[in-house]
Amino acid sequence: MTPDSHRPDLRRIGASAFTEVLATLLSLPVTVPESTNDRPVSDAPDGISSSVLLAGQRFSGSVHLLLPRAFVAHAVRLLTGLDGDAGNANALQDDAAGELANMVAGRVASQLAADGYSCKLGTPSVARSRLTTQGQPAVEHGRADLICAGHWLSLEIQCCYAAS
Amino acid sequence: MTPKILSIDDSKTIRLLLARLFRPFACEFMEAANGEEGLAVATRENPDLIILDYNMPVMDGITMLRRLREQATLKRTPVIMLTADSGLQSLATVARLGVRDYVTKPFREEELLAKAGRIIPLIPRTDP
Repeated sequence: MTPDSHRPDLRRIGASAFTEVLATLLSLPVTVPESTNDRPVSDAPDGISSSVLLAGQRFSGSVHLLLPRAFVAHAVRLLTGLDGDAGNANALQDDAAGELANMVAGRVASQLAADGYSCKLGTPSVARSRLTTQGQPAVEHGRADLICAGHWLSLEIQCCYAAS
Repeated sequence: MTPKILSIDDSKTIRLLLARLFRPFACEFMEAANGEEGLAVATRENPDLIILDYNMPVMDGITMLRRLREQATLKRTPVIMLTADSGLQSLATVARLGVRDYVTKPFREEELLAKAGRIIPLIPRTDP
């Protein structure tokens, strides 16, 4: 097994990748909340969860985002110029959430490759639910929360390291 | 003749983003949701520029690119690769297939416009 001290800092990598995607693609400033107690209750239940699998020889895992629906609607408006909150916008919101996860996973994979853990990206999957990935056995987690455009966004990276 | 741009990407968000990006310019914008569909549109329309996603279901960007290069009329069609995967292996593969340029997602809109503008003329529309 890879010694713990040589393993990538998943939380740092995730937060950096997520911040870069939001700043570059959406030109939105991002802040890191001082405490998870600051989390607004109203943001939690109405979320879109998007995930991308990462697969490599030394590392396999996944990147998960939990985005409030109102934030995704805002992102759709910024990206496409269309009303991201219209009655028929659910499919477009899901697509945008999946594409954001795809880009974040791409940046995560790039950083992991620089740390010696090359991996390939899977196809994004999207669900309308809470982020329910924590607590699985034998899996390492790195979680980061960000505040962007007044919304609380969450990222989690899960991974297993191959025995070396 | 206005240049034809073909966006091949499984993400509708990205196709809509690119359509918005090129709307101010005198060009014909077309789209396809995967490599197979994109190959059919490219064969029919003979575009002046293809903006191609790397990772797609049905037929991925690399397979589509290989098939594209097998056709005499599309052998030299300029392609900009749009990819979330910045791995060196991916970049080496697309370079061998004659990709003119690549843009890593997330990208700044001006970066993609600048790269497209080096391949086709991007002239502001005069019609309303």
